[in-house]
Amino acid sequence: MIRIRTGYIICILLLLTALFFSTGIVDMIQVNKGTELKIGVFADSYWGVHNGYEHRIPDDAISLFQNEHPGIRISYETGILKEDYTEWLAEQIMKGEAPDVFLVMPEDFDLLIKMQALEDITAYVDRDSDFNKEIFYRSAYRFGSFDGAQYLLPFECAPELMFANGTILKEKGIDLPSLNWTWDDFYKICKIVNAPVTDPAAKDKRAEIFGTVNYTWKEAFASNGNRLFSPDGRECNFSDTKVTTALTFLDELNSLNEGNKDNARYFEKGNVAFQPMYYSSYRNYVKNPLRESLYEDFELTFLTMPAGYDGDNTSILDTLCVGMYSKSRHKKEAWDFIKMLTTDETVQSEIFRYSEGLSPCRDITERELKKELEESAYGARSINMDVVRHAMDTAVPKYSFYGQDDAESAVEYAVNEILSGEGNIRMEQVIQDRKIKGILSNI
Amino acid sequence: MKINREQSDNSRPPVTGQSILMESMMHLNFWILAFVLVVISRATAGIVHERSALSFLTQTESIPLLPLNTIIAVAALYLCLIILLSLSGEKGINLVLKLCLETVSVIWISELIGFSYTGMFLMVFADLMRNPLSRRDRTIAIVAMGIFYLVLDSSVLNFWLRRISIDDYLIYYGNEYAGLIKGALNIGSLLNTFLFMLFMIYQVRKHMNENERIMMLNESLKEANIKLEEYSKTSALMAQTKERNRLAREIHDTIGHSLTGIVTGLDACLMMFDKDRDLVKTQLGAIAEVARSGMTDVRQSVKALRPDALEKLPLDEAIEKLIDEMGRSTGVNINYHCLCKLSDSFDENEEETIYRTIQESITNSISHGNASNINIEIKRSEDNMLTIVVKDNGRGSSNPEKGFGLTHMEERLNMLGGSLYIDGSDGFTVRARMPIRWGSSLK
Repeated sequence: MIRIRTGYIICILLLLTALFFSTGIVDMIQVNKGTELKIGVFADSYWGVHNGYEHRIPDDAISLFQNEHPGIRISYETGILKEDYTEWLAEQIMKGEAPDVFLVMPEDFDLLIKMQALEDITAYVDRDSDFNKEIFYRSAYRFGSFDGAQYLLPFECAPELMFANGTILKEKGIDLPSLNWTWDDFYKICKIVNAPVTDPAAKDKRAEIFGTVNYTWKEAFASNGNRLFSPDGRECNFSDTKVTTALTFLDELNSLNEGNKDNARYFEKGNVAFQPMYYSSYRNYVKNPLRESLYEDFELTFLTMPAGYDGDNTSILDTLCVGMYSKSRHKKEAWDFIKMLTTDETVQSEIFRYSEGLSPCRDITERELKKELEESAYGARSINMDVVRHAMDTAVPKYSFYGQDDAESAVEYAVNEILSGEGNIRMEQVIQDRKIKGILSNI
Repeated sequence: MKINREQSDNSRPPVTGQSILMESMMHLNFWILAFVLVVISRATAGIVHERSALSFLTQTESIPLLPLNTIIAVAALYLCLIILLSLSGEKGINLVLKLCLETVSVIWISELIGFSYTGMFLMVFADLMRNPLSRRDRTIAIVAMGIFYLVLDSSVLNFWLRRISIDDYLIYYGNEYAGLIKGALNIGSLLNTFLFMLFMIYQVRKHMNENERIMMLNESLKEANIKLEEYSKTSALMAQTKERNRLAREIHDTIGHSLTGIVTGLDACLMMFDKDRDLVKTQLGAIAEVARSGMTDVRQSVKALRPDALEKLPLDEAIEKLIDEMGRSTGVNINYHCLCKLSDSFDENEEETIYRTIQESITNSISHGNASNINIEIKRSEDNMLTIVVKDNGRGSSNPEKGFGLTHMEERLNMLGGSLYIDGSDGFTVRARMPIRWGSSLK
């Protein structure tokens, strides 16, 4: 009897051991010496620029955080490039050394959710009295939610805007379009710009002038109010009538630019009236002394995206977010640090100095942009505050599901097929819709 | 492993085929689990090393458990399972608890290794089968375990829990090695199933042997019973014959002898009656002498024929002895109540009548009435009569006829001035009455 009881006691102890190890409680005990927060950041800029400010913003955020929370150590691995970042993160997760707080790129969001690697921070957002989600641009904040739960907070963002060559427009006697300009306006201007130049002198100067380059289906679909993919990238409504109108418009626009396919350098040279560009690219250009010279001989300005027939002046918003690892052992501290990174005025205003994006916090962005405008930071180039505000308020998030590259290539191919073909657009749409869905199901 | 083996050896002293099979299963499952864990750990390390963590995670869409933690947890759980399996002799709720704990351990282990191997469940099954359970409980347990096993072995659970199974890790090893590993695992699994089958065959055979043994025992018991019955009949017959022979010898030796002498003497007297009367007179005297001597002999013989017990013991003790012996030899419950003093109160004749009456009544109750309960009451009634009532719960008789025994009994009683009544309506009742001559000596 005694032996049987001993046996049971041993069994219970063993079950407890198993519980400790399988849930990772054991690791918690080991680390109990002091709170150490690991964060995951990449060295270069999210916007594809080597700006020389490696880890500048995280470093400052860390020292600020440590001033407020003495006793918490924060560490990160240096030198990870953006292109290696996702793989690095995956390895850390597999090794059980995943950072407590890490940057999340849009294309990884869906995968991290599926893996349950991201902590649902809805409760923190709702309960923390220091935190107010209203300070964010709604479009940027919405980016981090999935199925009604909040997983990420925006760290940095950049909307896509329509950049215009003011010089060309002036030459053609065209007024700068308003905030609410439409595809019709867009088409008209392009048609005027594209018209053959009659003045021989001018012909020499600008041999070929185009209405627009790089205005693709992505911009057209977004401005026409069509959300092509479902959030998880499993569904696609390519056969929608909004797609039809967008395709029809693209077809018309293309016929103006016959024979001259997209080439960004034309815009840089001053040969193109309109080109959609992310705000970050614009800032990269204007801040970079080498690149700045490219735009020297014409007046660069930006506008909202032209509204589609069935849509609005909607931009696409690219957002870099911050998330918490679901198995983090210091969730409270991790939340505090996320809050610091995303809402602290000092940290967020550094984005304007050390990065190319905009702060997702409305007040900070407006204040910083106004300051730059007053200081004439980038020469005479105007920053139209209304455009930024309008674009941020109406923007739709960039797709953020796993395999979006493949999905977008499939759509790209389908759009090209339809535009280059002679067939009926509606018919072609149905055919291509099936093809895209087939590709999506295989991703 | 070693500790467990010792323990299991200690707690189960008899080494049977089943215990050997059980231990083999424990060993086999240990090695299979070790193999699975090695494959998983090696793959995890390799995947991180080869920088293919992202594609692995993309495929599995869940966070793998750390190999070291998994190994420790699985080891603890397996040890727990082995100890539980080695505890024997549990009953009732303890057994249920033990089986539940075993099931929990197995499911947990399977969960930890992504349901890659579930053969441990067969050990729990075997443990269930070898323990005594009521038919109902056993059926419930078997059905419950069967469902558990099906759920575990089919990948239903994995569909919801999305654990990373060994199949996911096998991709790392490439097709050729993956096939090999899978094959090895299948062999282990089949071997485990084979051991389980052997175990069950043993179990069934053990069950059958037990049944057979019980049947054989029953058979021989029946035979022994029949023999015993025959023997008792024979011995009764023998006693009867012996008694007859004794009677015949006594008659022959005593009365026969005397009568022969008397008859011969009387014949001689008849012949000599007319010739010599004096001689005849003398002769008759001699004959009378012979007759008297014969009478003495008869008296002695009768004395010799008295029941042994009665000869040696006082009447009350003799009756008690009789009842005791009869009760013990026949298994009939005999209640004896004597409300008056019996010994030294009656002469030999009366004592014998009382004794014979009781003896005859009991014999009748047992042999004719087939009674199981007999009540005997002896008391002195108001009118100075001794009343003996023998009542049984046997068959009784609606029309009782006095056989030889009862007639003889009645004759004896009548001779002493007593009477006999019988009643066969409720069981069988014999009521004997006999006057008490020495009233003063009876109290």
